[in-house]
Amino acid sequence: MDQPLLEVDNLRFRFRGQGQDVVQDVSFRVGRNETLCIVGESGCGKSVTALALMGLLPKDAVRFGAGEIRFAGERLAPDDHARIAAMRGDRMAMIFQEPMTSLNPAFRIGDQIAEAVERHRRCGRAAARARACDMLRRVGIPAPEQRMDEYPHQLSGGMRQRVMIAMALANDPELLIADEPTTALDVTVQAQILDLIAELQAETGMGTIMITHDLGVVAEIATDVAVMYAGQVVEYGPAKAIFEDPQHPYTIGLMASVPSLTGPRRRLSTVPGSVPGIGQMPEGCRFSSRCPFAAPVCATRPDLAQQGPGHRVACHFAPLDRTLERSA
Amino acid sequence: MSDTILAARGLKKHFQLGGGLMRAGPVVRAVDGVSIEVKRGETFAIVGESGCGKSTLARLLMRLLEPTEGEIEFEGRDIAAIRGRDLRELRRDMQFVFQDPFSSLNPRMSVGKLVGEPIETHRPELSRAQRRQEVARLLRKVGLRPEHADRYPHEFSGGQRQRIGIARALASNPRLVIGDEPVSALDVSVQAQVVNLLHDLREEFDMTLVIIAHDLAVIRHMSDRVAVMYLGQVVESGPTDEIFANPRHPYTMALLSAIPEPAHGGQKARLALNGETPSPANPPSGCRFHTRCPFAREDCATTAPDLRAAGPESHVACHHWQEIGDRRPAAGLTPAAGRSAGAQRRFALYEAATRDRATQDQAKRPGTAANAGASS
Repeated sequence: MDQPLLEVDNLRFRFRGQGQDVVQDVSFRVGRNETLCIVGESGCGKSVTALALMGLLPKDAVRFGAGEIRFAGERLAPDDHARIAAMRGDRMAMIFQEPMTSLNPAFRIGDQIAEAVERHRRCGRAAARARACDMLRRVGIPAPEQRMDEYPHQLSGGMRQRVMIAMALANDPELLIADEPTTALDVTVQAQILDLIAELQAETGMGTIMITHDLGVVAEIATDVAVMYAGQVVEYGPAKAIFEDPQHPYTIGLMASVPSLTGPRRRLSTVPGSVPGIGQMPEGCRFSSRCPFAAPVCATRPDLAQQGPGHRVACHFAPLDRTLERSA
Repeated sequence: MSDTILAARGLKKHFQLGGGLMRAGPVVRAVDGVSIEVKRGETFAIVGESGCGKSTLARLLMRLLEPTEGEIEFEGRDIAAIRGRDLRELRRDMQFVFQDPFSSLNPRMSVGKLVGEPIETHRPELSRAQRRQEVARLLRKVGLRPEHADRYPHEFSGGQRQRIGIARALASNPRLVIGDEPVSALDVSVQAQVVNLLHDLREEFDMTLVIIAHDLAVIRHMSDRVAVMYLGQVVESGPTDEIFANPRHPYTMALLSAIPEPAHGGQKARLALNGETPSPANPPSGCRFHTRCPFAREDCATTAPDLRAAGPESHVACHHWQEIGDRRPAAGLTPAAGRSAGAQRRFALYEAATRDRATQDQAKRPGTAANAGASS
């Protein structure tokens, strides 16, 4: 069997001065040509996980536990900043939610992309600029020769996100991490950007990690899904299994909270309460303080146990239907 | 009493930009000829993407902005001219809920003051003790607890802050509440709580709601009638169910088909749009949508279509909607593959369990002080 592009094993870290892990034993894998969606709400740890993979968390502020990253078979310690920095922007690249704040407003977009190329390739300025122009054309920016010389503020939100994608893909990365790339965009533009990412992935065979809170986006592009809550992966598996056979109470609550575009309008289910602060995390299963099925056993942490082929769930009561209906 | 609580006719708001000493800058036509009628007791939604003018329209309706042209009537009275006491009455009868629960509450005021302030202004006859009681009652109504009155906004989560904003809006007993993206800053699970809350309050207080939003699923869930805006104009309006089941304007179709459905394999026939919304400072000639419309013809570039009746209660601004209707992809939405039988049972169990827990919480509420706001 093929070796996956990226394997993350039990990634765990906390910020200095905090007594609790912000990310606790997170594991997942991404293959070439596959898209892993990490889905969850604010504060679930999905963005810091991505930043940790990219070596972008400030060195002094974070303490890593024993966890391991394997990228194309190579072992990487999560705190080996030098090696990660050498790969960043070259073999793995990232795009962010807000394209306006992640582009430098004082430089022309062509120069910003060319800089990324020059940094990792031994090539001259002219070759780098030619590559930048190529990339802009590939991401669907009209008249790229002229656009090269424009500044970020001259572009619309959708165009800026295209520039970010062009920059991220300029060095043909093997792995693309996209952190809420369409959240700041209108739906009609979001559809264009998602199509563009899928197209480029099919061309280059790169692996993609997409971080999002939008289950609609997940359903559209994911091969696999990791549902995160408060720094823990609570459910993990192939997209089909997650949507057709969700198991974890949080996944179910999340799906039931989304109003639907079709079918009868019914009162929405909710997830009661809100995410506790990092200091007030319950012991064991962190979802237990909001879970309608919580019981004393939830004070011990449930394993992420197999429920189906590749489908794993961290809940003592999984599968809920059988466990609870038997006891009722 | 008339059936219409709020009406706008030929409403325009143009903003003059920059410019120099001798030369006027460009004019942004943020709202350009909008007419709507909101019926008493309904939830009316205004939907559109960024730059369509929906927030400007909301501010005009609230009279936070002066219209360039056109008139707004609230309960049959033109609100453009009113001053002094009448304006205070209008502010009592018409209240607002804002998008950002973090910046719309004064951080230096306690929750009790925030909610008590409108009571003090609009119901001065109440004594201090009565006011405290009223604040406690309102906090309970929105799912908070009376003891929260002594705390400050920063102590609350986003969803709870939005509840405070709602309690504040309700404090003057308004007949109409206008919400500008009232749930879009919230996480989905919390958003559902606030959507349910607004629904319950509308029934209980017999209010009319006007909701401005960009999220079509939320709009469909909450509203009775909807108006779709594009570049400062209404392109389609009508009963919500009808518009979602049978959109007539190509922009509405595109908008609906662009939303990814949260179900596996539910691939839609998508009506893709090219490019992005043009600038409202320089809108296209004729039909403003023609530059992006996949069905555009020659006449679309020259003559602007009026908003005309297209059904018993719906209106559409498109020259060719009838022909387009015959050619468009079948309803746009295909039902997604279903959930497994086990999953359906799990959803039912979840729903029952959350309902049970909510009633239990309600029952033991007076005793519990810690861990705020666990209601659904």
